[in-house]
Amino acid sequence: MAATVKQTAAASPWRTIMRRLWRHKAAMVGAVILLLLILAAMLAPVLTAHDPEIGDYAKTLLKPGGEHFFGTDEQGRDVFTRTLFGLRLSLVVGLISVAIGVVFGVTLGALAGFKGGWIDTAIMRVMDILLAFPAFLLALAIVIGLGQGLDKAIIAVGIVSIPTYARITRGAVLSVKENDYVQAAGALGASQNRVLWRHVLPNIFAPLLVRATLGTSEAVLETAGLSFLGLGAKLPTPELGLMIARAREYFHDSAYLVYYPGLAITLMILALNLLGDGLRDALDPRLKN
Amino acid sequence: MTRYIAKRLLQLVPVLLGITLLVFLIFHYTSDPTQVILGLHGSEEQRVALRESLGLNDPLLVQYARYLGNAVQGDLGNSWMRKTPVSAEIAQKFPHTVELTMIAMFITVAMGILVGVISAVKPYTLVDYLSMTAALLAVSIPVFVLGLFFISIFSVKLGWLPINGRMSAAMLSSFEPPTNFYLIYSFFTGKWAIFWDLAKHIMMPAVVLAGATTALLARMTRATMLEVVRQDFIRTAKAKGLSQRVVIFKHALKNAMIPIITVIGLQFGGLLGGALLTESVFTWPGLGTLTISAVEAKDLPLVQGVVILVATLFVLANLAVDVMYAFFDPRIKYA
Repeated sequence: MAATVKQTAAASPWRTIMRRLWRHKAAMVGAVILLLLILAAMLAPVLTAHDPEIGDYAKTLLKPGGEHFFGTDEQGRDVFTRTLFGLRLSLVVGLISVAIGVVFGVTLGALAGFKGGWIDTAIMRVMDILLAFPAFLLALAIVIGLGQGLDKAIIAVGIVSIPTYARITRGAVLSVKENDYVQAAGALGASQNRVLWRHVLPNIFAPLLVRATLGTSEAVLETAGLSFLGLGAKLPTPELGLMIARAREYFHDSAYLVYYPGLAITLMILALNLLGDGLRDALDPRLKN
Repeated sequence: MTRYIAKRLLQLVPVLLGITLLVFLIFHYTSDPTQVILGLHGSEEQRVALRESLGLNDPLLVQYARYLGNAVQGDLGNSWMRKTPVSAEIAQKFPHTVELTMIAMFITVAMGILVGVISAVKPYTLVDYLSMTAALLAVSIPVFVLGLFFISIFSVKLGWLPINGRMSAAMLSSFEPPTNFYLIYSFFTGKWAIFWDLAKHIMMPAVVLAGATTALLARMTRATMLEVVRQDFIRTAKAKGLSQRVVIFKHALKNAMIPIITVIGLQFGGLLGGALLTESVFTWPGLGTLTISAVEAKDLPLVQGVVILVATLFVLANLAVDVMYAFFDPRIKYA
């Protein structure tokens, strides 16, 4: 009896969540795929001896097999190498744009929630305007302004995601702010900054984490889409969307040029979606059927 | 209800002001219209004259106000690269995109709800697992990858469907419709050979465009239906001896409609964004293709026109969703 009591006391919320996540088969499949993709991306320079950007004109459009698992492209570059480096780039792209969204979104949301009044109105109206526009088109409009390029596409995709994080944070601030213990902390001289870090952020960590995981997959998808349209990465960068766009010209005889990068990006998004759904179920069992 | 709709339409005003101002500012600081219009070869005098005639020497606020003043009267200015009125350009391309997105929307609603309901009625069975796996894949595959994948199978390998384009070149010469709603026009005038040709061309892009939205809707429908079928009134309906079909479609589905409609409304924006990429993959002569060429040419008036149209459509779609809430749930009343 005593042992059970001890055990319950020791089980922190995090351990419960991790246990639920561990038992979530789909989430685990997603985590394993993601881990393998991250490993492959990180070990890219070790896994391949070819250069991702410089090709061999004597070996253009070779079919998959032999020395080139995934074949070579129109400039004789190894598609396997380019796909690995493309994955690497997509992962970085996803993380940076989500970081932009989270940092600015949380800051603006917290500001709106704590300050209230006209600051709140101004911030949230701007967020509403951003939300009143389909995400991909908004990213496109921002890229037009910033100019074409992968770095700009990342920023655009990041900006587009700001309103979602701002809304989550503002909502949490508003609900936490009125709690007695937060009022007490304020009365005792705790700064708003401290309230934010100690009381608000821990409360919204779960929804933010779920949103950020799913947001990473959206960011990867949107950036690849921009590159596919010629508004993101530039040649010879091994970016998956750009590779697929280039491959269209050789599609009739060399469909593999589309398949491998396409498969890589699909697997990555699939893994992130599986993990994101699993996290949501683990963090909020009420949402699970 | 009318008052509510009017109020919501009024709320469109600040959204449009904000979004046009945003695009206006972005372009003002990043593009030089004299370069877009005259190219690199124009002389300095020509540039000065052009700046004056376009009113680019006026203060920024004056320029913006003038643009708005004209826009309210339906004049969106002239395209810098094509010299034609923006409204005419858009009016010409828009029908192509409308036909594409409407068919995609139809596929989304019909297939999404059907698959979701079947999955929910037979949860944790093979049918459920298969359809939910397919849905997950459809959400994860980028629309341009799916498009090219379909082309390689149905056009290149099997030769069933045309690779791209709106209709066969051979058909185009004998087809002079008064409107760009080709599909609708050929249907109502009974030109069946042309209608079939158009249908074959629109099939693949519409299915590809509908892929992700159908999947999302199917997942949402399944989740909501699973919650609804557990409730007491469903047990009562079954106990009354109603048939399974009546219980599912009349009792359960109607009560699951609110979240389903919300998702449909939200997905409308996804369809518009997806149409951009889909049109690019299938060289569809619609708004997406127009937008991309306008972006590449830094043609501000044209981009502004598209932006205003899309934002308006998006807001109207969301309004339609809210109005439909009241239809499916009479407890919801708008004053």
